[in-house]
Amino acid sequence: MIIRIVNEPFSSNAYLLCRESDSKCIIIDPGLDEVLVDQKIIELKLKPIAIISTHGHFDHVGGVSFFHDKYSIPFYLHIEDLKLYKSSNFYLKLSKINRFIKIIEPEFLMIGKSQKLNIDKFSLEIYNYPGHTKGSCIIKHENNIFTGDIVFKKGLYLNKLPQENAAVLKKSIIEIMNAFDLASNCYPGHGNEAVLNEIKLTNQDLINFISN
Amino acid sequence: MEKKKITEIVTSTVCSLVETLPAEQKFIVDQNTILFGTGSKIDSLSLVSIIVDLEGVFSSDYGIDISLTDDRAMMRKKSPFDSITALVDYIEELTLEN
Repeated sequence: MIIRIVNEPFSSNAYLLCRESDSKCIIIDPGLDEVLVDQKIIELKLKPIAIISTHGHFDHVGGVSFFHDKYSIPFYLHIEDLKLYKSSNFYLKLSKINRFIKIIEPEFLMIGKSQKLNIDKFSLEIYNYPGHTKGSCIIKHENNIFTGDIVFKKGLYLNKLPQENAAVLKKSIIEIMNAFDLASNCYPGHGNEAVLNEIKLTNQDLINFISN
Repeated sequence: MEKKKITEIVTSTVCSLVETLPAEQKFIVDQNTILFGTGSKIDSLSLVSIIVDLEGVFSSDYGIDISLTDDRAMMRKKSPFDSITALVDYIEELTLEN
């Protein structure tokens, strides 16, 4: 079961990847609405066992320390986004958001292009697809892929920050469309979920971006 | 690294940014130029570019890895982005530790 919780102020998606048999869950991309996410965890009597972020932008890592401390669970992040994560408070200030988040040292730094992670009984595959940020990853679990800010049902998320590289992003998106089963359920960092093939065929901004 | 050299690198990086601005937005860069906050003529994206460029120059040209935007920078009583002088002071502090 996958539960989406929309975090404000950037409408970023936090996900709870849950196993119904024992209520264990992995928190993916806890943003700045950690209380809202935690309310859902409490309401569903879930037992968080890990936190993974698809990338290091503050709207996807803002709640990490809250869950890390409350549930004593490890945090996974790709090493290429560590510096970005540690700059979260700078970017919050730049975005005129009056928050100061606690930065923790991730227990696990993912490295390289791909990695298999077995967390409890969750078998995950992590793939680094740079472009949006250097350490942006897709998290695959069964037929579901969490695509962060790389692939969306509608539109693209170009922010013009120096960490973004449009040419590399384009290459990554093309690779993703070829690498994953097009029947995969895609859970993006913003907006609604969709089947990957639907995105490939109907996301006109994405089609234009990779065609030019 | 000498403070004079750091000042030269920082000033030149900010000047390069100013050169890319439209004529009506250009301004004279000096030691008191505010990089961020009230009175700054530099927008957020440009500030990020300056920082990324500076970190890149210190790393690639001088082999010194610095981070100008982590919590150490953000929690300083005097922000490194208050002025070019403040940023130079902070970078000097970091380079001395490196």
